[in-house]
Amino acid sequence: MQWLRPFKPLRGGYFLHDESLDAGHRDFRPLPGGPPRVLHVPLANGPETPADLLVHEGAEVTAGQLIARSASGVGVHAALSGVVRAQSQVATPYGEHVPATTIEVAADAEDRPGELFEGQLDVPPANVEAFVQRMRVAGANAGDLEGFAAGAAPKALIVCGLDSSPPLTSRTQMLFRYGAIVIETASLIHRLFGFYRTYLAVERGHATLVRLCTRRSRGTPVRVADLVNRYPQADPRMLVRTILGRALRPGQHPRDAGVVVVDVGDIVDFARALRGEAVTHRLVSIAGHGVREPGNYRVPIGTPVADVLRAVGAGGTRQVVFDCLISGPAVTNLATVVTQRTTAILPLWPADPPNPSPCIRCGLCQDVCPVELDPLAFYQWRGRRSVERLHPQACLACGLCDYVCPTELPLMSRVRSGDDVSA
Amino acid sequence: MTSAPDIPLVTAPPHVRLGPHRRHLDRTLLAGLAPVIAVALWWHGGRAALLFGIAGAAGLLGDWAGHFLHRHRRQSRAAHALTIGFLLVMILPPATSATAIGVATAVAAFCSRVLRDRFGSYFWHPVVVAWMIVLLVAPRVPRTGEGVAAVERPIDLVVRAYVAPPEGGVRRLRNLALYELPPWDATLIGDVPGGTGATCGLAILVAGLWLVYVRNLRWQVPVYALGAAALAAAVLPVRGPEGAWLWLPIAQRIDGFPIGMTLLLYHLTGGGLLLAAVFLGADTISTPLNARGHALFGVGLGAGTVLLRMLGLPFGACWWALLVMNTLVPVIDRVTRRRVWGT
Repeated sequence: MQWLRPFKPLRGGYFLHDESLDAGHRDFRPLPGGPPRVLHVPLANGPETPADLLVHEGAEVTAGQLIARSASGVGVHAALSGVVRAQSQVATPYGEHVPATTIEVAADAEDRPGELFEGQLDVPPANVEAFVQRMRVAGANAGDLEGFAAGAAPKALIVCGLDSSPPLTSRTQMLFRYGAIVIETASLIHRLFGFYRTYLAVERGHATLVRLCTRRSRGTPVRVADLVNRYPQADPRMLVRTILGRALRPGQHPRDAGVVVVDVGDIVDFARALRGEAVTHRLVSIAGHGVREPGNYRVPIGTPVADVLRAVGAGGTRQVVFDCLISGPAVTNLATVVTQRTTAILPLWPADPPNPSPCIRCGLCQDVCPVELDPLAFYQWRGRRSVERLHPQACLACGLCDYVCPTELPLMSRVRSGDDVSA
Repeated sequence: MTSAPDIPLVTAPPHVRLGPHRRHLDRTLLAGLAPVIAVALWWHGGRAALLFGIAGAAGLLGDWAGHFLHRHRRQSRAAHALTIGFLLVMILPPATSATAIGVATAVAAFCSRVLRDRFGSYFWHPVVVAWMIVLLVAPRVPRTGEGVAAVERPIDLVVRAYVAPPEGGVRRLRNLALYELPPWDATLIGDVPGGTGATCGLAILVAGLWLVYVRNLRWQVPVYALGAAALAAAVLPVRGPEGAWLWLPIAQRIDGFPIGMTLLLYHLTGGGLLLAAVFLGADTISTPLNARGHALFGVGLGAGTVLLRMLGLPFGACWWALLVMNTLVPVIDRVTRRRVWGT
């Protein structure tokens, strides 16, 4: 019966489950209470050189208007209509400070980004360069694909439709809503870049979604990979392992093996960019402690997290975790803004500080480690032997060893510090 | 350009923890003893209650002394200390000296507390250490199986089949099974001589299933221990009617009597193997780290127990086997170390 289930479940990992932190499976909707009053639109997507502002202070901008462009041609667009105010620095969830332009949103601004429809793509890009150019103009994050446009040999494309942890349902919801468009866009990328194989990773637990995607992918080069979504299955290296059966060396990135792993949210952005629309919103899951209306939302890029939390009824939150319940970055600065990489916003009450006690050798850390590390060996390492033999570079930083440890030992930080020592 | 806002304070993951906490695990194990204690009280009444009370008090006393010596602010280990005391009572016959049990429990709880708080681990299971202390303090009492028929356990009778003179052997065992051994189902309900809590196989199995369900016990240790014991009992030789070693006893019938199956069943439930595999195998500190190690540990425990019985060890074969396997844990951990993915 192996041929019926070609994708073996992840070895290790853990089924995360917390009903109190569930975003539910509702369709994407705008933030309740109307659009935010102010946007701090980041002019850079990370540490790269920021884009040059094309509008002056006091200028009126409309929704989707190009307001900045980088030297490489990447456009930045206003998500809502309003007036450009001061240029500032904003904090991103990933510990960076990037230049941003502040837009005071007009009182009558409407938060209605254009809807996507299947088969809307009249003039597909003729080649890879044209594709990348369209992405840049629209401000979509082509990421690893740009590297393959430069001539690297592509082998496989994996579109990740798995949610990383239980409160998050945005990727699944995106597949329900935009599944046909995702498959259409992935097929286009497959043909343009010359991938040998293209997979769409879908959670096996959603039988309806698996059937839907399988039906829609007939006649296309996209193959649906229904996977058991045991955390951290959504990690790119785990996807390569499970779908392609290929073991990456410790520290090796999928792109080094010719594999591109793209988030389904990015594919939706690509689809939007291919239709000539600007990427101005993120589709995110919002759930957590104190959230009155958990669900999936369409949030303008540049919205301060404080405004998002106020809109969903979690105004009293002091700490917010982004993207992943276990290992996502946590911030206490609520001026942090939604960026193009944001996939989830999880306000959590600060947990009690850990109270570690001696290890009881329960072995749970070994059981759950998806790369079969021995976190306890790192904890007990005293420098007598080389730490490299324990292979700290293999750590995914998924945080499961800390998550399951009944004695609350800081195992992951020891593994990571082992990585620093070996480096 | 306005001033930069505060740098976000990025706290370390994980932002949530699974639990349960270590103390919860200790309490769950203690709760798992409840059915076995209840059965022991049913069969042995006031004597068992007295022994459990003394062992519990001595365990708490030893734990408190260890805590006092260590002087570090640590969480309570009362549940663990009680577990040590109760398990010691269970593996010893009710006729054992209460003083010996009290002394042994206090010393074991003290050592366990100090070692765990200071070094994070101990080498041998504290209950086995306590059992050895009882052997030293009151050497005659636990060995009543050698001569006092009233407290002779079924497994002691079975062991005689291995060490019997040539004219005995399996024929002797057949006679034992037909005329002297209690019926096998009596070892399931506890109506046989033996340890205070080690005789009722059914209660131990129920407790073990519950501990596996609440994830306090890995199934590998009891399953592999019982499996290996069954296999060893089925394969390892016994004395034949003419004194020769008779291999594969599971396939042998003496005068139409299934001798191998009798051996096998009494090996599993007639002694303390079930208790050792379920409760003492659940102790994480003195068992290997990963599942493969647990399987190896279980195989060693089960096969070792039968082997020692075959060699005629008069008492406590399973505890000696457990001691040996505890000693081999570092080796097992080394042998069963997993290969890091991608290397």
